[in-house]
Amino acid sequence: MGTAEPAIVLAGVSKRYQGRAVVSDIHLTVHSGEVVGLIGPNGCGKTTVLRMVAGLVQPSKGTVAVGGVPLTDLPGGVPAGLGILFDPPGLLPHLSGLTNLSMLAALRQVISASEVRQWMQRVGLDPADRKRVGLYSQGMVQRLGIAQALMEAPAVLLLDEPTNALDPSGVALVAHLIQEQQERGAAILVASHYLEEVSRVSTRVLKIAEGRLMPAVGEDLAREQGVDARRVDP
Amino acid sequence: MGHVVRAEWMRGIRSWRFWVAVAATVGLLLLTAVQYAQPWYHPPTPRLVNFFTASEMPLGGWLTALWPVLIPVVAALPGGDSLAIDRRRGLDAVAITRVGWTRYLWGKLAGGALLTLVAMGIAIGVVEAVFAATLPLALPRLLSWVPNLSLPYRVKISGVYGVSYATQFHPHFFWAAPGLFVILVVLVALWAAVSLASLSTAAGIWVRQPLLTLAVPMMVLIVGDVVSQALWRSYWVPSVYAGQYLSWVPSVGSWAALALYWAIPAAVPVLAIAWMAVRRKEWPRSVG
Repeated sequence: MGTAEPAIVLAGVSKRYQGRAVVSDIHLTVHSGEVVGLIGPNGCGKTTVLRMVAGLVQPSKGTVAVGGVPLTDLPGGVPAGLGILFDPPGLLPHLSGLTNLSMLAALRQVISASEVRQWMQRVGLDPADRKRVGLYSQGMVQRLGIAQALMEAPAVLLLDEPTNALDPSGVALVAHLIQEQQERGAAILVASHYLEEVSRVSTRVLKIAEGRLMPAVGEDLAREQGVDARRVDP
Repeated sequence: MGHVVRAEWMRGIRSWRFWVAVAATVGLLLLTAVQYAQPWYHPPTPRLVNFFTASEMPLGGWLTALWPVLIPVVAALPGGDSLAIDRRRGLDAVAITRVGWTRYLWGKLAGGALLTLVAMGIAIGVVEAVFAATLPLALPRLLSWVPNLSLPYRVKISGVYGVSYATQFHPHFFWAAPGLFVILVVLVALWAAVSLASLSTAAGIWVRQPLLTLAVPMMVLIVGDVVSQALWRSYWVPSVYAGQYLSWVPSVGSWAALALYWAIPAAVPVLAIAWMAVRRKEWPRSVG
């Protein structure tokens, strides 16, 4: 995935569920090394956009391309080198944190067991802790979810509400990790309710309302929430 | 796909549901052995004695008759439930983005089949051990039952593996290599069970209803059994309940007996389909 070629392209993408339009005519381009924040209230279509980029939901209309290749042309329908964090984060409650990560790492086999342990430590968890994930706090589950999304150095990162349930130190950690991934060259889409959190880590912030990317909303949002308007730009 | 199967194995073997499936299978096998032991002897003997002599039940008798109940339990708990948990925990999305849809789905099928196979293997092993432990009580009858075999094979083959197969299914092979014959019969039985479990998991994926895994093997076996009964004996009821059905016919007539027999079983799939239809509407989760 070269820097000149957009990592993610959504061209006229719409999605309808049972006759109801969830996402309408989305046009979005994200380059490698860029962090794009999507903000908006619950049910506005942020998660659906992320799930369409991941190949988990098929658009009703329009095309999604990752790494220059339309998803419909990909074997398996899912782009390679993707890291995702959705709610729920995809962890099994009857296994320990380390076993969960090891199991997921075994699917791709691109990182070693010691790297899995290092990622647990990086998100502030103890790899030697044999406690079941079902006994974790919500914040610990979220940290583990972040580790599973980032640990294989994905070329494209899709993070849905990455700071959910995190304390201030956890929020700072997520911001640091996102910046690190950006510097590594990953293309990152972050969906959140909170403009301030998103604008802190994003190179660009877009608002989704009623399934549409809203034009010229950046200044309004910035004024409302007191953030740098130059970073709130569709 | 191998990575998905390995991951399924890792999680399945650590899941309490897998071990519940094994325990349920053992319980059902033993319970049915006792039930089948009752009419096996003429005249009937006290139940406790029948339990200890249940090892004489042929596989073609009690085990295959139990499959419609057994397989859904074994398949649904470790295999079908794995799909439901993936969906609930979001693991399906995380796994699919790592391996793609095709490998994920085939891996699920193969992993579910493997776990079902292992669960049934463990259960049959445990039941075998129980029967082996009780064999001394049944030994006198076993010795008189299969007089032409040497003692080790008499004990072995008279167990759950099924002497009835020996006389019905390639008897020359049985007499030439009885040990190999026993292994083959067990493998065929397990393979049939795993195929049904895989079929049900596939159906569950197709209609996006993991719990369908519970119903499909039972439906397939019952339909197959009923069709074979209809072809060979001209009545449309499962062979296990043919005796009950035939006992009703003289008093209420064949059509009424048929309706009476099917009224309750027919209600189950109707309710199940209605329930699934309601659940399916909830499927496109999380559009926020």
